[in-house]
Amino acid sequence: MSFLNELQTVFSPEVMLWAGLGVLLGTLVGVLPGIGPTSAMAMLLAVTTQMTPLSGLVMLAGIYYGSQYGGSTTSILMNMPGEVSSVVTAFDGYPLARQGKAGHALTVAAISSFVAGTIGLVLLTLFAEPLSNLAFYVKVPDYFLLLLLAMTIIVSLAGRSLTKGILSAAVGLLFATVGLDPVTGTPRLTFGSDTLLNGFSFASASIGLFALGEVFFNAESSVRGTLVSAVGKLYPSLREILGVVPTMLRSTAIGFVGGLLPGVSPSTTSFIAYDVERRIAKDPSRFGKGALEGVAGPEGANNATTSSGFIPLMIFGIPPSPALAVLLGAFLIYGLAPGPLLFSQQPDIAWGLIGSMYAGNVMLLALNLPLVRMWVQVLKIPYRILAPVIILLSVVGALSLRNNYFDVWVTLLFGLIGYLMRKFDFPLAPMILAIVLGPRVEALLRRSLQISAGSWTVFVSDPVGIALCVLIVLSLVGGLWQRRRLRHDQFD
Amino acid sequence: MRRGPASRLGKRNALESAIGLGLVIVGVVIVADSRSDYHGDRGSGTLGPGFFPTWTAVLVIVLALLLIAHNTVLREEPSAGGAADDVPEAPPPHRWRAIPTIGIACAYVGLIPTLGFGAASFLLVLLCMRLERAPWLQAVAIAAGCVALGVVARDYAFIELPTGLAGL
Repeated sequence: MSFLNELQTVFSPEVMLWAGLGVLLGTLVGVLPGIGPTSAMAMLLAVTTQMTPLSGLVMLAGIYYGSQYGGSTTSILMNMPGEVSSVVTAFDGYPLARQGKAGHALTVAAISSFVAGTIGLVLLTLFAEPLSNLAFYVKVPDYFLLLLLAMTIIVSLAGRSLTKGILSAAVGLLFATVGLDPVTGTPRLTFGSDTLLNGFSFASASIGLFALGEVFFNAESSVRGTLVSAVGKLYPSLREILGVVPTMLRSTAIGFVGGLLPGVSPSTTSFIAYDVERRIAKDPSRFGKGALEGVAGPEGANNATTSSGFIPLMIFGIPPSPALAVLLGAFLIYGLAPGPLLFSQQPDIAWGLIGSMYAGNVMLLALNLPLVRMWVQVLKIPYRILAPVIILLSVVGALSLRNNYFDVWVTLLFGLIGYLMRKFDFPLAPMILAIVLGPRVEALLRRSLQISAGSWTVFVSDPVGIALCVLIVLSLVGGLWQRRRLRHDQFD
Repeated sequence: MRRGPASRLGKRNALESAIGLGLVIVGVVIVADSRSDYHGDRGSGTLGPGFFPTWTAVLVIVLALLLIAHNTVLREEPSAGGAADDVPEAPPPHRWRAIPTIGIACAYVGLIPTLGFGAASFLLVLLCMRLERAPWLQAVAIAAGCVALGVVARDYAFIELPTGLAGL
């Protein structure tokens, strides 16, 4: 198996070092409220270009899955999620902390995250290569439809308004078209400016939308949690741990399947896993008052989703979440094309990345349990210190890719856009996905229409195309129906 | 005077409509700019660089008009009593407390080329922390730490940061 051939690469000191640094930063980012993995990855994206592609990817991926671990600490101790995916963990984690069982909740969260993350990785290792072979049979028009489907699913699941979701994606596509046309090399939408010939840098857009936008938005928020700094006894009894093993396995299954679908974020699967556990519990009234299953379920699900999200990313180049969109941006900046050829042409990168996540998961377990008291201290860092540091790092991140000061202004512009989008409830995920996928979507659309001499029937010329078109329509209709039902429920 | 939920919602709708209008204008400008390149150099049968931006801009215009219609025509103006449920969880748009932060960020980005990254960063952190009433000593120490971070980025990550008048 190719994975075993690449073990030497995986366990090289360099990969281990960057994986360790990535998960450490990820845990830190997860612990700190007000800064998410997408912001952190975007800020460091350009800096990683100084490293080898594998080291950069390993570190960025470490930040992503490491943040899922760290987020639970803040949820449990402060009743305030460090990450969106840890919102549900607070439902039972915080009551446990108030009962003096914060240590128990943190340990169960860490073990559940580890178990789900590792099972997810085993499944990723087993299915990634066979699925990548399947991707070879996808034709150009079908590939375009597949990307469109990924975008429509994300649009249909993001935010409260379908119009705003599609608008967000469409504006993102427009941003992606600025600069030189990828097919003919002709300048477009530059309005005579030489600076715009290279287009908007993806790094600037992602740093602005996520890091600066969040800083600006948080300036208006005055929500602060109350820290329960007494961790108490760290390890629960073996009986308590064994009691939540079925929950861990169920949540792994939910999280893994959910992660394969674009737009299904770790936060969504953590809600589903929590709901499932509450529904099948013998005594559902325990939930919300400090049930360990209420911690193990969501934590397992969000980590399994994180692992399986790498399947659509690495096989089709489709990022299912904004953080993975940044990782896709990193692949492209390094000159790598995620897709079926990645496993055959760059097995060291593909397997090295997957392998590093096994090691990273073990490191996270070691980081999260014995060092939990250190993370409690980190939680005491006030946001007034973090906000200027994030602005400063955003400038460094924006400058480091092309060393062009115009990119800093672009970052600031996207920061304003990100702030306004948050304020007016426009989802960010469709925009960042559109910016990163835009050039490919356009190239595939134009190639498809060239193949068919301009006929749009090329998209429904085979059963795969017809099925994808039906799914695109269904995802949009489903999104519309879901929102109407939600509005109706709220009205009732 | 405190504004009620109905007034807040009305203002929010008006601001959203303004965003929609802005997007319509942007869309029209892009359609006008891209139309000439719609077919490219090789004749009317081919698709040029303007094809994709044109249709994307048309989509933006249509959706922006839908947003305006939704906020002005289709959405009923709620009564003061019944509007509370519809008010979004996000901070209401009449609270613009982010403006000073945005102003500081703009001033910081504007000052970097003149003052240099280190000096501008020192001022930024110091100002932000003092605005949040952090003790002077803590503010100076953290600001100096941030300058050190810039030096590390320049010397070890080889990122060319502007030096400016202060030479830092």
